Amino acid sequence: MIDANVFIGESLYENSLSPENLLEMMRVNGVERAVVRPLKPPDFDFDRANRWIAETQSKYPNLVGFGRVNALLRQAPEQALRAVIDYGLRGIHLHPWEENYPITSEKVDRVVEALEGRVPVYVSAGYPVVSHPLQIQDLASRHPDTTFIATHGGQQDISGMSFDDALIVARENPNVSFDVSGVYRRDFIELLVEQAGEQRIVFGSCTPYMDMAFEITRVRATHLEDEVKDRMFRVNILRILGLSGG
Amino acid sequence: MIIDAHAHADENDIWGWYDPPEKLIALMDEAGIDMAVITSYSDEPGPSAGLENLKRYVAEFPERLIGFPRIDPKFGQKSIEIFEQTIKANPLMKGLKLHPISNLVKPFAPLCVELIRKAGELGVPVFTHCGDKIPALPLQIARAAALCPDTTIICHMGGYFHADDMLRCAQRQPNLVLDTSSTPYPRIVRKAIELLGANRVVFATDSPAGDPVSELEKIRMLNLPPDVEERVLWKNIAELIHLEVGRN
Repeated sequence: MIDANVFIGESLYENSLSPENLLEMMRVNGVERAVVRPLKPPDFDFDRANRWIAETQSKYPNLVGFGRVNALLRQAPEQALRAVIDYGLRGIHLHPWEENYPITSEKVDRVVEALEGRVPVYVSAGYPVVSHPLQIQDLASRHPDTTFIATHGGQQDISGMSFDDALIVARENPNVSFDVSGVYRRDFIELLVEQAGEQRIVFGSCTPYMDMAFEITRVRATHLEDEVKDRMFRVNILRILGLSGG
Repeated sequence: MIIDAHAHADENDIWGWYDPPEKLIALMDEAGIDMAVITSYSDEPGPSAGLENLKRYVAEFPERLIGFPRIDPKFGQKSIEIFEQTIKANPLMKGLKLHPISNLVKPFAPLCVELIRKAGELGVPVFTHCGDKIPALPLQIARAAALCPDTTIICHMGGYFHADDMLRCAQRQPNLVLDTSSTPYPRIVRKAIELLGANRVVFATDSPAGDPVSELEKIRMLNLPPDVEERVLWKNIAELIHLEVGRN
């Protein structure tokens, strides 16, 4: 099992998670590998945090590193490229909610353009104002050669009123994949698989914001075929990241 | 005994949502849930047959289903009369469901407050959707709860974004009871029990959209003391709706 969405390091929000504690959590929950990116560092220095992620990735082979940048900063495109080329990280994470910018901003375009489709761009999605599903679509449509992964099935709204919008993205944007962290509705997970296709949904827990054990339970409880669950838990993220093994 | 305090059954052409009671009961059986409080997808008065469906479903499965009619407050006296008549005429109807996202009446608006107070007069609780956006924010519901101190209001734990607001509101407003469905955070369920006590949290699934198996696991994984888990899983809601079956 591979968890595609985990944050580690020191956190401004007092939910710090060390690699060692994450590895123990993974062992307890039967997770073999995790894709990790920095929590928001107290000093706001993502370049330093990205270097630390690279060191962590080297030290612990079952942790796959992503960089994170604040798209508002002028140096963000350069930092993103450095994270991938110099630090050897496998993707870039954008968190428009914690960094406070709309994902449709031209500043995000500059980061995505700098990467030239080398690696996937993981986006914290479904946040009010900044990353509604159709805002994700707007971004993804402008960059059809970049693979995006949207967290939370693209939406976060317990009324269910954003589901249709996320499903539009699932149907119309083949360059957008989704993780299902925090999606409490079984029917929505199943609809995402149906409409995006079983190759574009990955398991990601959004640890430590959400609960790894419970996120696994919810995916297992869906009425999807075991083969589809295996794709979600392992196969799809390996393919997206160009990794081998399990 | 396990009672789900919030689930749905309806066959609604406008929404395109078809969840007959047989579907819900199959899911309850899969999870080991004995009874469920159900409501419709549509509001009454309205163009859909949600209330009639609800009456039929609880009559077909009286040992498994309890109804909360879903009423739109904006029709004023007519809404109150429909609600009162439904409760008085049908012993299997034991509460009121409000969904501010669909009826667009703020919980503290006078029309809504009158309806909530009527529930208190009739001795039944209100269940309201809560979380993520206007007009179903915890602080909006807490304002209604303050205006209706004689009515118990059960609501979600604030959805994705308003869990902490919800907990603070419930701490200062004793007629608020929280349900465990719809929150992706098991830690918030634990915190709610710690802050509010074991008597003010009720197990719910929001089934068949929410998954009963994993919603139940969300409670089990907290490893609560047996007496606390029992209160959450059925005793609290049984007491709130005066359910004799649950007292056995």
